[in-house]
Amino acid sequence: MTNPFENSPAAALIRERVRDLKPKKSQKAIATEAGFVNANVVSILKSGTSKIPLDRVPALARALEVDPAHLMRLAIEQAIGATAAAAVIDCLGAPVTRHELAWIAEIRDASDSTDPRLTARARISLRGIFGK
Amino acid sequence: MSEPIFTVPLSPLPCWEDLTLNEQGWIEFIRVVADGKDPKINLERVRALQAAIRGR
Repeated sequence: MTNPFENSPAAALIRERVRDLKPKKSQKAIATEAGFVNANVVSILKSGTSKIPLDRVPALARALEVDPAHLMRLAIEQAIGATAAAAVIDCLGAPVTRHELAWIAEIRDASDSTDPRLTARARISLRGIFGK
Repeated sequence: MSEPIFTVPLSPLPCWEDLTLNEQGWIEFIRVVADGKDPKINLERVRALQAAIRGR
């Protein structure tokens, strides 16, 4: 069996979250919480054998304890490809995650709401934050 | 996850278009350097952000 979506960011996120949640939540529990009757579905999504069903994204996001907007963005990319996803997001509006809103809140706070530009210095700092 | 949770008050959720162009630039860059993940903000990151913005 091939895994056409194995390298997709969506499959990688599911693998990461299932691994991180392992001490407190089994894969079967995640599947049940996400509304999948068959617990193997989570394995299938982890391996990238199948795409994430878009209608299950909200429940799956809750089960995986990730932001639904983030998972939806990745799931749309996985479903229709990055170019088409960009077009969909352009028409419908891009989702902003809770964590991204937290970044914005801090940027506004640190700048006294002066709407700072992303300067070269800021780029270097952000790269440093993420070890790049 | 091992990252500490840093909770900030969240007002009504804005959408992408509610952000300024500069803010969109920040978030796009964060998405890129975070490899498309959805990184939490924490105290260390807040300090680095403040230093970058305030020039300290």
